[in-house]
This record gives sequence, structure tokens and C-alpha cells, in this order.
Amino acid sequence: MSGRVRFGVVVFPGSNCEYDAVHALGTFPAAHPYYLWHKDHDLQDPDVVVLPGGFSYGDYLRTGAIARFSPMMGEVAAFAAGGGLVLGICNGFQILTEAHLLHGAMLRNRGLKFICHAQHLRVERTDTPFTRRFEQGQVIQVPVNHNEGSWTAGAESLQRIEDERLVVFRYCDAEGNVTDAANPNGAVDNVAGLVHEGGNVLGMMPHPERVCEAILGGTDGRALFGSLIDTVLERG
Amino acid sequence: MFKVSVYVTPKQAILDPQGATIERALPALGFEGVENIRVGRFITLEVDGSEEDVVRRDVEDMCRRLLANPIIEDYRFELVDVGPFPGAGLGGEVLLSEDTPMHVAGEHAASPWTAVDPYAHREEKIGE
Repeated sequence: MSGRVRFGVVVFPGSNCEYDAVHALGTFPAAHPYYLWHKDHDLQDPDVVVLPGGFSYGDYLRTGAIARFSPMMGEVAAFAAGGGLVLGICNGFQILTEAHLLHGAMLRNRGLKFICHAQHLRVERTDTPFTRRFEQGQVIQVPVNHNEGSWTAGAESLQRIEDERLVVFRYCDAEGNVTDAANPNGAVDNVAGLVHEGGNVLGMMPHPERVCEAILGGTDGRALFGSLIDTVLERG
Repeated sequence: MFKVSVYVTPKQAILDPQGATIERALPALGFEGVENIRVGRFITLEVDGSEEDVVRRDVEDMCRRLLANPIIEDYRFELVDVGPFPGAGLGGEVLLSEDTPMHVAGEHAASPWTAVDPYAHREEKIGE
């Protein structure tokens, strides 16, 4: 049997999706998920670092603004700089933008409502460690659950994101059309998830860890974690 | 010691749905002709120091790194040197009574920059 793929899930005060992430990863025999406390300095030799959803520091000041200064985030940044795989989900995505490990910033949803529904996403790239098991243009359904998910970026960043094809998931309708009507929060260009230039750090607002078991209403998230496992096992 | 007021507002180019919502609510109260409402944050600090240049630079740093997100927010701040005597307000009041809820800035004052972790008691539980 091949080696266990280590997923370190960082827990901040106010994180509330770390259990779901560890549970979902536990449905993959090849995965070994474990918790990491935000104040520690040892990532414990992960293959993938996961920043889970929640309300770290109560979303005080700005969502993710304080968590980015947690001691463990220094280690996460170094891990990412060295090519390590980092997945930020929802609040994790927010923390990654505040930490400048991903382009852009988060605004309050344009409708001012906390949204909570099964959202269609179009997979824009399949040549990343996070999406290699998907088909190009595939439409998947993943729950969204947030009040501040309207991703935006400055003109320069947007140009770079366009040039480097950094967008990985866009909000779309059931047919895969990326339209304003299908945009649940006003995010620029319907961006639901993107990577940084190195391709090893992904942030996404929807929760793939919530669609890994059929009993919960969908399994579209399995291909994402499966892609990461494939990538790590391939590296040997 | 300096009393600092920081104003953080969304950049003009950013859509401010809160401001827009308030704008739409005002006519219902009978106010017409009100436009361009922007909702931001007002933060006050007390900063130890005697040199305005140093304090100004530090506050600038705080704004850029934490108090505001320069990608989506503008910030400006004002500071007032209230002198070397802790507790001296602008009106010259000196806070001495233990009954007053306000701190006298000094060795017993909690610095706003002291990290206090309300979840410290969780440390033993995480990592199971």
C-alpha cells in the first residue's frame, strides 16, 4: 500500500469547519488528516495544508485579517513558497487573500445577505493539483455558506490573473453558463476559486468538504481531494 | 502619548452595498437628494511615544498591515499629542479615581497591542 497523504488542517479561534474537513478526508483511505493549532510553529510534515471555513477571530475588523498574523501562518507561507500544496476553503480563502498568498480581497456579498445554498461551479482549469480529476468545463455543485465572499482585485491583478489563467472555478448556472444571474455574491468575473502563480495554493469560497458523501447530497468534492492525493502519491 | 483616530473607508471604485442600501432607505424618512453614502470604520488608539514622526510612521504601518486592507480600503488618520502625563485628557482632566472605568495609561494599562487569546483554554483539546 502506498504512503499515507498527510493533510494538516489548521484551526484558528472561531474556525468551525475543521471537523468537517477532517471527516471528509477520512473517507479517503490514502489520506491521513490531522489538526494543527494556529499558535504552533510545526506543520508536522504535511503533504497538503488546509485552511478550513469558519469565522476566525469572529471576523473582527475584516474577515481573515487577524488570523493571517497567527504564528502558524508564517509556516504556511514558507510551505507555500517552497511549492507546498495549500487549500483554503471559505474563511481559509479569506485568510489567504489577507496574507497575500492569493490575489485580491473579499467584500461583503453585494446582496448583503448571508447565502447558503448548493451552487453550480464551472471548472476552468484541469491542469492543477486540485482539479486534475475533473473535466475541462465540467459543471459541479458545491455548497456556499458565506456573507463576505465577493472576491475582487485591482486592475493590475486582474490582468495578471487573466494572462496566467489563475481562475479555477467560476459561479455558473446548471448549464454551465457564467452569467451575472448565476453570480451569488457579486464576485468579479464570477470568480469562486483561484490559484496563485505557482499553482500550488488554491482558495475557494464553496465547501468541497461538504460534498464528499452521497448521503449529504452530493459527491462533487471528492474529485478535488482525490486530485490532491493523486498529485502527492505521484511525487512519491 | 498620542491619541489617534483612524478612518477606514471603502475605495470609491468599490461597490458599497451597505451604503447603497442606506441611500435607498433615506427617502422613506423624508430625506431626498442624498447620494454617495459610504460606510466605513472608525478606530481610536492611544499610542505611547513622544516623537510625532515615529508615532506617525508606526500608525501608518498599522493601517497598511492590519487596520485597513489597501486593496479595497482607503485610510487616513489624525493624531493628537496629549503630552507625557498619562490620563491627561484634552480638557486637562486627570483620572485618578479607582472607581472610574477608564485606564490611566501607565504600567497597569493593557496595551491594545497585547495579544490576548480568548481560546487559550482550547490548547489542550486541539490535536486529538
